[in-house]
Amino acid sequence: MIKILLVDDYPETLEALSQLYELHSNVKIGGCALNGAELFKILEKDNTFDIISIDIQLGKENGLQLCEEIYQKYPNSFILMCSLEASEANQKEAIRAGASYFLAKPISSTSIRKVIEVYKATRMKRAFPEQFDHWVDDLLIK
Amino acid sequence: MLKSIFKYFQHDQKNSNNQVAENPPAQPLPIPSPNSSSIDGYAYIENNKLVVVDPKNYGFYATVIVPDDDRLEFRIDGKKTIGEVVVSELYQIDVVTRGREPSTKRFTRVSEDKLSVSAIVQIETGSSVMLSNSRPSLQTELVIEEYAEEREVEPVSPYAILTLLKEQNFHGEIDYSAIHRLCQLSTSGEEVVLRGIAPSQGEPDHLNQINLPVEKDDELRLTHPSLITAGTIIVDQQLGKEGTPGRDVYGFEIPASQNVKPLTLGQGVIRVNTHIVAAKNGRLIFSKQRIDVVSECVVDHDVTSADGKIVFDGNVIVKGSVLDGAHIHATESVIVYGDVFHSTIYAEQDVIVARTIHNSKVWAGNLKTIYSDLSPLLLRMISGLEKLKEEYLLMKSHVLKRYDAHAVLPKISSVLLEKRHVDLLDDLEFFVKEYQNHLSIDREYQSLSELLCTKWKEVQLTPLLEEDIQNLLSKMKDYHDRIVKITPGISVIRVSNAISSYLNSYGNIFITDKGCFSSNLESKKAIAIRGSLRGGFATAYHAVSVGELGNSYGMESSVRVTSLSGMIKIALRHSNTLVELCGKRDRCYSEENNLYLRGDTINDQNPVSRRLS
Repeated sequence: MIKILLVDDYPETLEALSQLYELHSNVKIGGCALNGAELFKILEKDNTFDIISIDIQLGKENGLQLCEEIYQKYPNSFILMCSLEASEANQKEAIRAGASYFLAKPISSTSIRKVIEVYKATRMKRAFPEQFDHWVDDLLIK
Repeated sequence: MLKSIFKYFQHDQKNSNNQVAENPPAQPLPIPSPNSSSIDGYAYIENNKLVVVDPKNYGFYATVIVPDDDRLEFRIDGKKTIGEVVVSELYQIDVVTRGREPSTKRFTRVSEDKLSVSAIVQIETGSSVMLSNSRPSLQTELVIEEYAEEREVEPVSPYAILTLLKEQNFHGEIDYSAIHRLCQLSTSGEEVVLRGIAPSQGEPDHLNQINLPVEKDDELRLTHPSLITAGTIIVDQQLGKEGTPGRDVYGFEIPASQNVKPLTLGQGVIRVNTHIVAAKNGRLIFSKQRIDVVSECVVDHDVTSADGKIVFDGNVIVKGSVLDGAHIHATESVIVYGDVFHSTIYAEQDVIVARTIHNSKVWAGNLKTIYSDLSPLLLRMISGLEKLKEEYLLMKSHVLKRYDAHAVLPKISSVLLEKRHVDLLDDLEFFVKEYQNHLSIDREYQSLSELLCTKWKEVQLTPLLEEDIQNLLSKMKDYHDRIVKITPGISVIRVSNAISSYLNSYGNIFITDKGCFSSNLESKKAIAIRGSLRGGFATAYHAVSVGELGNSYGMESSVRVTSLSGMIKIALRHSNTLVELCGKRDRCYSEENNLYLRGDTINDQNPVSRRLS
């Protein structure tokens, strides 16, 4: 089960995002936060989230800065930037801040499916960093 | 030119010689001064012949300017020459002019539809070429004159045209009168001389719908055919004509175009002679694509989770509301006269809700939507299984050489799946879990899912052999082939309002009252919201029309249309909203009225589209 933490300053957007993620049977919304303080409060209690989705504009806060902080604290987390502002500069900035994926609003079920696929592929890469050259022998010896 | 330069020098020299007496030059000129009694040579053309006279007493030799022209051959001592040349009586000069012989060319041209061949006869009259007579001159330019010859051109024989057609292996009906006309022409001309056979178009079946009573539903503002009983004649069918194929001028068959849209007869109707008759009791469906009678399940009370999961082959009509975790899956339409709360509705045709949908998920034209999502996953699994099979066979060949082959052989697939094909294992699990609800009416999916659950779920415990992999692989391939061929029907979602809900339609979505709040709308066609869209996202392929996007407090709302010829129309757009049309985005920071964007008019001249980035 993929556990997701959503961060957005609009409760309506959080609700819409939750609906879209919950369409997938292997995804669970683990928590929602309206700002950075709420986000860190949740992360202090539970840091087992697979994906953290952050909006760039979080009222007075900057989502990119938040992304950088989370990346420093939890470098293995899959951070997803999700914003109305999807300029190339913002996307580059997000990657620089440690985001693994950028999702431009409006979001559809198809784009969520893609996020999940990318997440799975990333996870696979981490689990199996390289292929065995002599895999047949290796498996047979065992 | 050369001559005039020499003349100029000669004149200049004479002047300078005269001046020598008075002012002798510092250095003597190298050219000997010609005798004042010198006589220049000359040349001229007379009766197409060049006459040359040499100079006397150191006069200049005559020159001839020969044009570069195929019709003239000028040779001096056998050497072909062009341009300005010096000529002398002593040279062997040959001047030959060539005229053009009259000619007739014949060729054919095939029409674009390959149904006719035209023969073209091009007659060119001959001409004779002469050099113009000229006066004796130191420099003579040869001028060519061409005279058309009124010589009789040999007429084209019909046999020549028939041979031409035969040589090029044309097939069809020969028009002898056209050939005759062409052969009598004294100038160039063209005639269609051979015709293929054009295909004749078939006539579609003519369907006369028998007048059956209709029902008017004032509450839902719907008019639809009444319920009918088995045996009712629905349609009187007049059989159409089949088209006949044609043949092009190369002898190939041209199939007859059948201008007939495929009409699907559903399982609820049968053909009896020339009639289409209801095979069961139910509601008539009569559209351009489909004729059917479908069963109808009418629920007179509210539906709740206590009623269990409703899966029905036909229409489901709920006279009350759908409440608290109810689940309805219909192979036809779902009509709800009340509200929908915290529930899930799947319909292969339309979903009509008279009031509001709250915290619910609704799909219309579900199967096609799901199948288009499922197709890439199936392809991935098929490719994964093929790879697994390949590796299984490779490992099997290694294992068979071992003394403990019988013990290792059953473990191969589980080892491979766990060590090398984790992604395939993941996909198989996803396939079973993700689509269980969506495809509860799809028997083939259910059987595949059951096979995976029984045989493939515990890979460590159940030995999977080559035939098991092959069996699953062929079933997956068959299933994929079937789902890609399914043609979608017309499905529509029509609701009054949607709050915190997810609506997905293969056709249009209509929100007829106040609008949507914190909802997600996805349509493969168009979305029309009479009221407002506040919060959430709306994505459509063709068009989105919204009364009011966002609200005055700057609630984040966004709309996307993906088609290149798509359209977005918003009567009132508030700040902090975003529209995206064919990949170009525009975010709004202040209120705006009557926004109208079309994909095919996005250009720099359009003041609105200029903002899209």
